[in-house]
Amino acid sequence: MTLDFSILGTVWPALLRGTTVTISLTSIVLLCATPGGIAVALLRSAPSPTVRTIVRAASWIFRGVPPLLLLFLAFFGLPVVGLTLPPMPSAVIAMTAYMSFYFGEVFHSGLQSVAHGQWQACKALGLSPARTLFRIILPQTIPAALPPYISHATEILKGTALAAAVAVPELTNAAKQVFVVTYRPFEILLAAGAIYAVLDAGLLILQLYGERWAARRRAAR
Amino acid sequence: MASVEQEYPSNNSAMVEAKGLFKSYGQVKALDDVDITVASGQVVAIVGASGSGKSTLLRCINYLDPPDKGDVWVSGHLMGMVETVSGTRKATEREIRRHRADIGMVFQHFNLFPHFTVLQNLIEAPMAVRKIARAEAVEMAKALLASVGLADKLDAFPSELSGGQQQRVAIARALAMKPRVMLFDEPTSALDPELVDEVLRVMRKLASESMTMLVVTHEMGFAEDVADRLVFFDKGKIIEEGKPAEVLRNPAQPRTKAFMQRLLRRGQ
Repeated sequence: MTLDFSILGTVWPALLRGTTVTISLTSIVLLCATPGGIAVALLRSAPSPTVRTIVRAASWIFRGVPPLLLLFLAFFGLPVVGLTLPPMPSAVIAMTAYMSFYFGEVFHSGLQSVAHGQWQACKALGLSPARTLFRIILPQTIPAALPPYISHATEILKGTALAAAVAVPELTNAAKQVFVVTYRPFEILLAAGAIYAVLDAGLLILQLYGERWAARRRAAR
Repeated sequence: MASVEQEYPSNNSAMVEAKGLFKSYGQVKALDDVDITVASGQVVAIVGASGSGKSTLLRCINYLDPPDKGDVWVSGHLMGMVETVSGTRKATEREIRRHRADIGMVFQHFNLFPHFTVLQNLIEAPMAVRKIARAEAVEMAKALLASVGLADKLDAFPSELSGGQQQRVAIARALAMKPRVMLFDEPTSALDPELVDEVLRVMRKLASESMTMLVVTHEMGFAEDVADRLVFFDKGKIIEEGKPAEVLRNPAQPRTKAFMQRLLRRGQ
């Protein structure tokens, strides 16, 4: 058998639609799980030991079970308690739920990396806790948190393929739809893989920009 | 906001007055019944071994770490309390923040914001806390940087400055809030010896401009030249105070004497 990529000339609109869905799902999960992760990180250092324990237990559970199980739970499980969602929203909920805890770990160690004196200085200047967090502390977690953040973002991107299992028409699903009718799985899956690689590269470029931003702003001493 | 609030009167015109301050960390008594009064425009040097309570006193004065017991008045205002028409009540966190903003603080490790330029470091709090317009805050920041000799470092990041320059920026940042009092917590202790003088020069200038200052320091030369009074801390108590020259040359307490001798032996 020889490879014949001319098939892509016919199936590219389907792959493009799948790519669009993959990009939207990745972006929406990133947009929801990032604040979710910040919330988890803050709760992990909450004054109440009960809150800290609950968050750690939840983190252990959500990071411990297979993501596919959470997807099934959101899509097939939630209707049992009266919440029936279309494929895309249930994928967003399931992925946000577990990625928030992954990001929570990332931001938690990022927060630990910021010197205690930074909080002190903000307090002494009379800055509000919210302003302190968003203007002063969180931006300083970027150098420590960015590489693991981007690697988790890559996991989200790849993880969107799981959403095929609940009928989200993302890239892997779209590829499958077209190769089962064209009988050219190899070429089509290679093309889909190439698209994932390009999207991954986009995230890595984001990381490079972030690292450049952080370089001059490293903690002084 | 039409909050009905007035200054809580203390019995004299001191800029800082603390009475009966107690503060413990676990078993350690960091402050053990401390009284101190600093008149407006006075410079007080606070001296003592590490862990003797000097820094804790500063942190209690601006309520960074509220005392367990005792009262602090700054510029006639009782810290941690608010007087309303219906009587005195505990201040909210927000109110404490506002009062704290009137008290400048300079830290041993500068604590500049590393992701901000020098200019951004100076304008952040005036804009956020004092609600000053950006243009005005920038003008003030430029003037302050010129006064600490760093007019050309506006756009530098802290990591691009020497320790002495960073500390001068930190002083300017505190001054940008137009504080009534400045608290210095070992401002030169983290600096290489050759960088100490440039920071002390800025502090001398500030003292000559009648800023009220409380300075925790091991720089005895500075204490003697600039401070109006020296207080000596030991185990959470002020055990000796007076004119710096007298306390330094002729300490009355054996502990003070021992401390001074240790400092001298270290070549200071």
